[in-house]
Amino acid sequence: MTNDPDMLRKTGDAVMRGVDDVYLDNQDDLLAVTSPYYPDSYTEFASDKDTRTQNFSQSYSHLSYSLFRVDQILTINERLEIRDCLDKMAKIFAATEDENKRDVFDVKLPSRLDA
Amino acid sequence: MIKMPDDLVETARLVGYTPIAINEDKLASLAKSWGKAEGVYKAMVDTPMKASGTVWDPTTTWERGNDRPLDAFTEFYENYPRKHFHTVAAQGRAVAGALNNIAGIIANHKTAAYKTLKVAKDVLSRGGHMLGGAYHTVLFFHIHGESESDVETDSAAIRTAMDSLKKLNQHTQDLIDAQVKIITSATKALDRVSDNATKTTGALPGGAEYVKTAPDGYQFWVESGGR
Repeated sequence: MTNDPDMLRKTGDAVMRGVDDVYLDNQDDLLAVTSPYYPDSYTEFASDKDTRTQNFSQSYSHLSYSLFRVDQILTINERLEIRDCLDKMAKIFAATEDENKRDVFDVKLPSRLDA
Repeated sequence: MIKMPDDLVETARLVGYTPIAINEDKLASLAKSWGKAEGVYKAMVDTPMKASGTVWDPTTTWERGNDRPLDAFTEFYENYPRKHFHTVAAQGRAVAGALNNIAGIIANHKTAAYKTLKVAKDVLSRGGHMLGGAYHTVLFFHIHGESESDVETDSAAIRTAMDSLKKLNQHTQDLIDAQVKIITSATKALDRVSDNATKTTGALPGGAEYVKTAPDGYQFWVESGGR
């Protein structure tokens, strides 16, 4: 049994930094597709009353908003949670000498993960 | 972007045709960004795993299968962020394709519409009355200084242009709507990822502290039809 808070810290750091690196390299492209378009504000594709393109304009607004939302959850919330969990694990490891008394990291995942 | 030639503006007005406002070049460049986003979301979950000293590349004696909490974490990481990031990446590719297709549909529409307008304009401007007052009343058969046959040719040209532009508009809408279906299903997939990710993150120990569901107003917007 390892008691290796250093490995946990490095793992947490890698989770945080890895996403930042990818983001920095691709900032402009990601900004172009993750900017939320509120329905009541100006959008590039506003096509009021043009029946040929209005379905597209509306569905694209919704799409970019959904990507914005999923991006927030996956890249920000999730990283903070993982970072937090790893810190907690490190503390449990450090504080509990008897392996059998350590809290285990049992995650009950939702039944359906497929998207 | 294909622009409507200035000399067709008047003809378009006469036959009741409204040019499409969307810039197809902008759509094509957006498609490129979505294509790149696909790679970004794939890389996002793989990059941390390349760092050394982590659970994925341990520099100590830790071995997978001997430490229940660490095993649970690595399993969790494999199952949750990786899976979700790959789903997001897959939508990137589908959306890029749909946007490219729409860019092509709009470019084709513009080319065809301006060609039709040009033909109508050429017929109507035979007698040099294109910009005169008589031109504007051509629909009402009140043409001063025009022969009967001119009037018939003119109204036939307008009817033909109106007919084919109407068909073109409908055809374009049908083609775009087919691509919209792809965009809508990508949106649904992303929403499912958001919901699942929120649930999963909430299941972590002490969870849900950082989990925010949709931003303010989002739910209301969706319920009101996303408009």
